[in-house]
Amino acid sequence: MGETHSISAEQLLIGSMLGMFILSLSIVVFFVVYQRRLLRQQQAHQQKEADYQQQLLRANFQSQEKERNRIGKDLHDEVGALLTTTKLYFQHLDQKNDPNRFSEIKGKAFNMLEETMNTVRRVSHDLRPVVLERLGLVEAILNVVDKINASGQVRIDFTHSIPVEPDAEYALNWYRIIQELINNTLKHAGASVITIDLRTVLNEMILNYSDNGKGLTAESNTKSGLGIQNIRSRISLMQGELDLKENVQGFEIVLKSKLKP
Amino acid sequence: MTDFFNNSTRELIVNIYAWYVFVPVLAGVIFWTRLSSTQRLILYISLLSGVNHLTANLVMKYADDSNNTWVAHAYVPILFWLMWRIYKEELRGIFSKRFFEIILGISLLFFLGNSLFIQGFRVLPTNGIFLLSGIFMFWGFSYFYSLLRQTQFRSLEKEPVFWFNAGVLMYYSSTIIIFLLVFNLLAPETEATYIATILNAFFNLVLVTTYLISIWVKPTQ
Repeated sequence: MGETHSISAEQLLIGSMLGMFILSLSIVVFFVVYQRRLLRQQQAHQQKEADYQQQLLRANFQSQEKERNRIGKDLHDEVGALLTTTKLYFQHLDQKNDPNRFSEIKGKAFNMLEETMNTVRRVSHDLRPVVLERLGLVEAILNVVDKINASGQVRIDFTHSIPVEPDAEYALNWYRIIQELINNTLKHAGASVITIDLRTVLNEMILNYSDNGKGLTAESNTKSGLGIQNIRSRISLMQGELDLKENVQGFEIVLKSKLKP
Repeated sequence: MTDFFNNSTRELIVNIYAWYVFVPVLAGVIFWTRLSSTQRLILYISLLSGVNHLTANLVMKYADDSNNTWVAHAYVPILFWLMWRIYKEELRGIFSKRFFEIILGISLLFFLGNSLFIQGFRVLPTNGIFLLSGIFMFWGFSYFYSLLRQTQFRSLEKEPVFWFNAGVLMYYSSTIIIFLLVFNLLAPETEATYIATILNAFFNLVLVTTYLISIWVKPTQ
């Protein structure tokens, strides 16, 4: 009886020690497996993040190149042509000419110079929106809206409530985003009405942009299109959010960011 | 059961341990220049364990008084202090410096009081070892808890403290029962003490292996 009791105690001792050992070993193994899984998830997330950043960077470079090409084309095709013509007029300016003929050529040369100056001003304004710098974001957008409304091609309804002017860098980003959105609508949507609502809520700037065009079709490249990439890139710079609405009539997007860095 | 848990098995496994305990020390000396401060502390712990075992054996063999339990009375507070230094650094995210200082103060006082007034130097300090095991288990679980709270994940296999902590948790949670029951309550030289000693030596081999791995691995920067 006593022996049986002694053996049971030993079995209990071995059992409990091995049990504790296996239990703690299981905890260790669980942590290794669990941590490996989390690590894999983290690495996958970091990879996605890096890919996304690379995509944005590529879009930035492409957009820069596109802009350079456009400026080059503007200078070559418009300013260059105007200056060449002006040079020709100047070559014909001769004191020995008939005074009427002389003043006619001089007038034409001056007009050409005037036109050149206007073209240079337009190119320069495209590069650096003076209205935005002088009068602020709302006036700059109104300027764009008025020009497009005057063309009669589409109607833009612009509502706003911005009691506090955003940071200058952020204002430029918002201006470019709206320009890009309008451009996209004009180029691809075939819309007749664009609605823009820009307002500040607490410390946030919120843009609601929509049009009644054909919206996002299966062919629309919403992820890698240069235009939308530019918008994403600017919003990302402002640490904001972009919400592209799906299953709506036409096109709708909501953008948010802080007012200041 | 008796076929395996006998004196010859005990001799064999204890002898293996006596040599094996110095392997992490050897590895530490070889890799000394690239060891982090935590890995150096693990090396000191391995060295302390080896010296403790060697001294206890030498005293038992050659000293006039063969009672060697005083070696364990010296070993326990030094081991606790070295472990305390590692965990104080690793758990600073969840426990304050003051908390660790209080634990160190109370534990050292208890070890001293136990050696002087409760168990005395001629008995194995099972009370002290039991307290130390309990605290190490608590720190071991806390380390895993701190892993759950982290936001940046890293490969645990390359973390010296992970291996060290795994070994500490496995060893002290498995052997705490020995110091609580067997060495305190049962008579020496019974089958239960053979089992306890052999299993203790076996778990010690596991612990030393984790020390070796934690010194061997190259932590990620």
